[in-house]
Amino acid sequence: MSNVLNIQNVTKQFGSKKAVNNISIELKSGEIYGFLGPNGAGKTTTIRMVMDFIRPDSGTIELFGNSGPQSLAAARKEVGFLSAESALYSDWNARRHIKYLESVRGVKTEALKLAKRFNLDLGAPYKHLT
Amino acid sequence: MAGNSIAGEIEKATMAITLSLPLKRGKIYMSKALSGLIAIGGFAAVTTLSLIPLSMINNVSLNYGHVLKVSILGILFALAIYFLALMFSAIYSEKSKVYFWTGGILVSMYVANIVSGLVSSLKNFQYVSMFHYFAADKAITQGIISLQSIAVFTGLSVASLAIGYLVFIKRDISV
Repeated sequence: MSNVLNIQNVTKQFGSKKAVNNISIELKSGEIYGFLGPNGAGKTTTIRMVMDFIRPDSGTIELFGNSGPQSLAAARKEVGFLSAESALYSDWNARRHIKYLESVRGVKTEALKLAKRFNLDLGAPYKHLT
Repeated sequence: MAGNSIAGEIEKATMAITLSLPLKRGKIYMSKALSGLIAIGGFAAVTTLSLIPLSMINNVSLNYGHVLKVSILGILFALAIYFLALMFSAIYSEKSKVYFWTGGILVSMYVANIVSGLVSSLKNFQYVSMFHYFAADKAITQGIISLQSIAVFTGLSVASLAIGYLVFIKRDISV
């Protein structure tokens, strides 16, 4: 079975602090992987490197067989990313967010249909949501 | 606007949405540059075109060629500032640093231009100021835009755009 994610000997250092030290992970298609560790273990740094937000000092990361900034960009079409720290655009409403993400990803989701089915208000700006 | 477009998005963490999309960093940066270009061009077009009905209402003759030239000079000047700010926005992750450096450079240039006009021994300082090349009075009265002004504003824009692009595609963005 092909590897969806292949991290080999990846190291990342911020100043004198080694955030990730020679980590290797292989994730095959169909597998569900829990990535656990204490605070400061380097989980977020590793995910950020997989998403290409930050670049490893050494080692390689392959996502769906793609590596390097240019190829990883295309591979992100297959990846859903949800961070506890990331935010949505405060002036945009939910409908605009959905349409924007659909248009950039080049996909049509069921999100708007589902929202209508459950009678959800998608018109309020994100900053007004509780 | 430039400060918000990259550094502001990093600060608010909305950059994570953009970076998680299947877009190359270069494309993200150029789209930010293009949005500035459109905004500045649009603003210049609206302000310039509004002069036509205003001149007609007030029965004032207007040399449209001169107005067009002062608009072009204004666009080039504004773009040079925008791309400079965008470059700092690509370098830093905090809006305050973008405003500090962009504002600091502009104020320094403005002061250099004023001082060079007041103190003869510092006359050559005028050449390091963008404001020296923004000769709107000549453009509106004589319809002249010097090649030097075009070269300085275009050169600064291209250099800022290129440096910002290279920094943005290579840097770590912790969002």
